[in-house]
Amino acid sequence: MRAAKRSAKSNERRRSSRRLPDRVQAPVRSWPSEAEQTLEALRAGLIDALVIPAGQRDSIYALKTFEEVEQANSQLRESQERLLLLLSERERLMQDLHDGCIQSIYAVGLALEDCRSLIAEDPHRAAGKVAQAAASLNLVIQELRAFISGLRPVTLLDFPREVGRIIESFGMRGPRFQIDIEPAATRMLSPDKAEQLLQITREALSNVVRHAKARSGRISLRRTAGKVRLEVADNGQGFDKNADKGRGLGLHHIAARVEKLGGQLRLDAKPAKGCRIVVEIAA
Amino acid sequence: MKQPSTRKKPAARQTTRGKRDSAKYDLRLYVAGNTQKSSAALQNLERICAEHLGGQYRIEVIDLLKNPALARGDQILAIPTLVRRLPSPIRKIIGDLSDTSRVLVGLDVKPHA
Repeated sequence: MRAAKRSAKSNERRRSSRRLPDRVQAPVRSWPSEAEQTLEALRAGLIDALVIPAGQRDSIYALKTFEEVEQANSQLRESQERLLLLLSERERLMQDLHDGCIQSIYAVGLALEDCRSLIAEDPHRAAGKVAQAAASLNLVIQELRAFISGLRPVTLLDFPREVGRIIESFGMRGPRFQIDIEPAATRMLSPDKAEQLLQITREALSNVVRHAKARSGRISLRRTAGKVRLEVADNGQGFDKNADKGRGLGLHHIAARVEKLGGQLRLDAKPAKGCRIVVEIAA
Repeated sequence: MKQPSTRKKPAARQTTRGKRDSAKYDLRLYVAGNTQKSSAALQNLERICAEHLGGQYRIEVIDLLKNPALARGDQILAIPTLVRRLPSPIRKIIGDLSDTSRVLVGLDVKPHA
């Protein structure tokens, strides 16, 4: 009897082991990780602080509430904006001083150099040159005063006349320049754009005089399909623009001014083949 | 329902409620002062425990504004965080505990959906 019962139980066990489960249980979802929960809670706005490890030492864990982080971020953004503004202003002052006053003083220096040889040969003409140099220096002083007081000239420049003055200030130095300025192109320029283009021209011409050893040069300002195109070219010794990237501040300033104007700058230069700078800006 | 009793405040920890020895649920809530979510988390936790854990719980509240270094013990990333220390395994529930159903799942009072 007992044996029969044992056999029945054993058969039941075997049958039950072969029986399929009544229902297949869904896999148990694991509890989300801390990182997953943190991200989810951040998205849902369910937490108000993050614990930020401030270093390897146990005692210097820093805790920042979102308000503190937001406040710190806001202050940081303001500081960055102030710094960018200051840097931008500093860059502008550097450009203006370099392309304006320094070039003018440099031209006065060149004129005085010429006077040295003229004093013996033609004292009368030398005296005229000295007087001209003094007048140029007075203009530089006026320009510097304008920088100091923050007042910039906003009147429309007489572009051809200003270019003529720049070339005249080089005296007997530098090559003979051909000037081709289309009046319609100058009329398309706002005072600020005209001022910027003039500074670019001044810097480009100064580079020609100082470095190019050219026999002739050309300046042109023309309209091209709604744009104004400035070109300063010379037939001097040129340079390898790929090999010689550290050419001082001049070209860097020209590039910065063009960028500020939203224009395009092209520099064509090869050793012994002269140099050409082309600037195109929207009118 | 048996109300959890308040024990003497330990040095670095703000409040401990319930009896450690007899509590089935040993819970530790990390907060940051009286910020909105921290206060909400404590209120929600007390309500959920009172309604669903039948007095068999102990809540320890740790204010990290007073001592941020305590976050290291349970490797806390966000505030508020509830740590279920018992029953094991340790489990963390992050947020203001406003989703009662989720908290109950996290505490293993209610099975996963």
